[in-house]
Amino acid sequence: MRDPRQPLPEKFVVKGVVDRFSEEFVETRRKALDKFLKRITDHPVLSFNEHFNVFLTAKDLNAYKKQGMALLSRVGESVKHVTGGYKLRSRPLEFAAIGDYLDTFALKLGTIDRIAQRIIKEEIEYLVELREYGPVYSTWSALEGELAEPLEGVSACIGNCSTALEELTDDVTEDFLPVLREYILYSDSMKNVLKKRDQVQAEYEAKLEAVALRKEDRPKVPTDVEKCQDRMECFNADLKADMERWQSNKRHDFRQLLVGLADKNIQYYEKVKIRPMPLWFLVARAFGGGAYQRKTKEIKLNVGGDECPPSLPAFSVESVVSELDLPWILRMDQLIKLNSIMATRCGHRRKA
Amino acid sequence: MEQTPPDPERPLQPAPLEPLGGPGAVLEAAVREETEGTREDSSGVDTMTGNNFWLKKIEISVSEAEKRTGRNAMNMQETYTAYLIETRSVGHADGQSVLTDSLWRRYSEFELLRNYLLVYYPHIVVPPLPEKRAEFVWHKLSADNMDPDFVERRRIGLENFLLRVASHPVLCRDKIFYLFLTQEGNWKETVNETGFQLKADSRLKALNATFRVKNPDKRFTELKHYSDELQSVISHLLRVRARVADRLYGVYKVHGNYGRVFSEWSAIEKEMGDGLQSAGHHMDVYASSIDDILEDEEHYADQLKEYLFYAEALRAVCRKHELMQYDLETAAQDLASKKQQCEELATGGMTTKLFGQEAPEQREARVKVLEEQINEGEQQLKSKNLESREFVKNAWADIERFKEQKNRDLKEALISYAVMQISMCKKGIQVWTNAKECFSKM
Repeated sequence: MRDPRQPLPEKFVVKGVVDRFSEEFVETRRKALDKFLKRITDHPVLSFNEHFNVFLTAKDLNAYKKQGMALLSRVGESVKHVTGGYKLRSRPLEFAAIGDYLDTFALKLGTIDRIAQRIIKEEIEYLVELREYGPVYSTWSALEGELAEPLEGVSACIGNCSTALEELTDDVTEDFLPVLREYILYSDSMKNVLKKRDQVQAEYEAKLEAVALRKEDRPKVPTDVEKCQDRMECFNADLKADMERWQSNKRHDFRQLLVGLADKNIQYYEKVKIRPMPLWFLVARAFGGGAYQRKTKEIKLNVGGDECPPSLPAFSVESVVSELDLPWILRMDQLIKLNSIMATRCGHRRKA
Repeated sequence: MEQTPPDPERPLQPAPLEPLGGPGAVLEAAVREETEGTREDSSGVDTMTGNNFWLKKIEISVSEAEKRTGRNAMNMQETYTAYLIETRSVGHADGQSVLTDSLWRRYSEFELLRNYLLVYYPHIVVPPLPEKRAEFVWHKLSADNMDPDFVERRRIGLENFLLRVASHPVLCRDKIFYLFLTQEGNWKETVNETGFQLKADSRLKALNATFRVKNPDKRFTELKHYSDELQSVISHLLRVRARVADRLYGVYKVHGNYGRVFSEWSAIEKEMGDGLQSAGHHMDVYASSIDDILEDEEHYADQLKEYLFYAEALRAVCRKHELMQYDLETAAQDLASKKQQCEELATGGMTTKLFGQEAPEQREARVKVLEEQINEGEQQLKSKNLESREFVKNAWADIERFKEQKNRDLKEALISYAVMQISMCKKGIQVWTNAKECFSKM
């Protein structure tokens, strides 16, 4: 009981009506429970706990649950004791610092949680608008002749953008928010252990006081008090060790979590960028309608070929650009330059 | 209609105030030029050639906007914005351009110029002016007429308008336009003296008044239909785009809160502190990057807006055609009924039975009057027919030119829009990569 207990995942992840048996909810909780068990397994003390092993191995936990009830009653008592409000003389500075740290930490995580939710909300509203925006270009393209293709292209890109955005919000909802919330609970567990420590200290101080009153009678400190002091010191040492472990865990977890968030955003932009305006179409136009194809690492230009490929994967254009060391962003004048370079290259090849 | 094209030298001097030779003749000249391949304005909108008015290339720019206060016609204090128009002649031996004129005009004068052009060149898709009041704005943009950003965008729009007129094969030769660029005082009076307001067809302004045309020209009907649809699709597009911009702005700005909370959080962390602090800084950068992105996008919106207003100009040409057709048909009908009357009188048909006997002299006199009227009507119909045919020919030539210009412009606008999106993605990737680096060092 000295170690910060690992928090269980929230029973209801989202406030409001959530189907407890929906696939998503079950999946989120499965992940969280998995993490919960792994944390215990990784813990130097908890992993050796007999009850934990029974939990993992026993097929029938019913018999065991009865014992558990007894355990629960103990918890209840100790909690009552703490809330009973024994005033501590003074919490040692280092533990006071841990307490303050945990308070601020939970507060900041709460803020991050709210910000992330707000962003998702804004993104969903953005998505709603994008879903209307794309089709307008399609409607327009139906009116046009020569412009139909580029307009349709913009419409497709916006559609692509909405899909990528949807994936981003889903990922953040499923992977980022649950971990964040779990850590808020985790810090609560940590705070409970601190309270428990306070209680042990209080017990010791009470005993010490009682002895002090009877000091004249008995000059020697009774073994009972010594035992108490021992217990407190062990608790303190354990707690400190565990806090350190918790800190390094936290550091690792947050590094992973935040890097993951950054990655998701990068992926989103990559997805949106990879299929910007059907650039191949523009390039094809700049090439004067001549077909071109990707052949290993070289680009072959069929000047005079009357067929334009129906669609070219975006990478082929990118490779044209990277091969010629031109920036990815092409302006019309650059396309024309590209065209002339390609033409001379083809000329060389033909000569060779 | 055939008139000699104006002498290239003459119009440079103070010349008669009427538009040269009338629109038809000018267009003739322009068409001839085009076939000779002397038109050079396709190379760029900022240079212009006109061997009627200008022997040299001229650069036009609206280089400044200034807030002014003055008194209006009612002697009331008013605030307005004046724009500085500069014209330079280029193509000197040393390649330098020389400032030839610079003068101030206000928006209402631009409006007057355009109204004049609309009346005198009904067969031309006259370039539109930028919006009078900001429309289709998203919340961050002010709809205030005096807002510096709005004034700046309008300055660009007005410059664009002048360049469009200047690069138009017909409009660029207009005398009033030339004076607009070169004569500061009395210009308004000069315009009003042309009497263009009298020439204006009031029926054009009557919205939705449809004239029952029996034989509408299918091409114009389709074009009118197209301009209606174009207008509705672009205005829808602009409305949604403004909302999209609003939302995107929200998404970016909320990320700024990460900046603050990361920085606060970093204060209580030891090893993670530095990483969080600098990641927070990157989030601030991310949040503020949206301002530039959306400002660039506003330019794209302005390009679309121009074509939204062009749709109206296109429709004006169609309506003008419709009216001409209507007049033509009425004239033809009138003539037909007179012919019938005349015939009836000659054969002594129904009328004699109804109105009793007439003296033969009386009848003869009436027949004579009718015959005269018929003769007149036939002449009129002939000239109207000719006029109409001329109009269709000229209008269609300009519409073809307009279509080409539209396809070219909008394609370019779409490309630049795509480029903007790509650059936004690149910025986003950059910021998140920087943040990721900070996170992974924690």
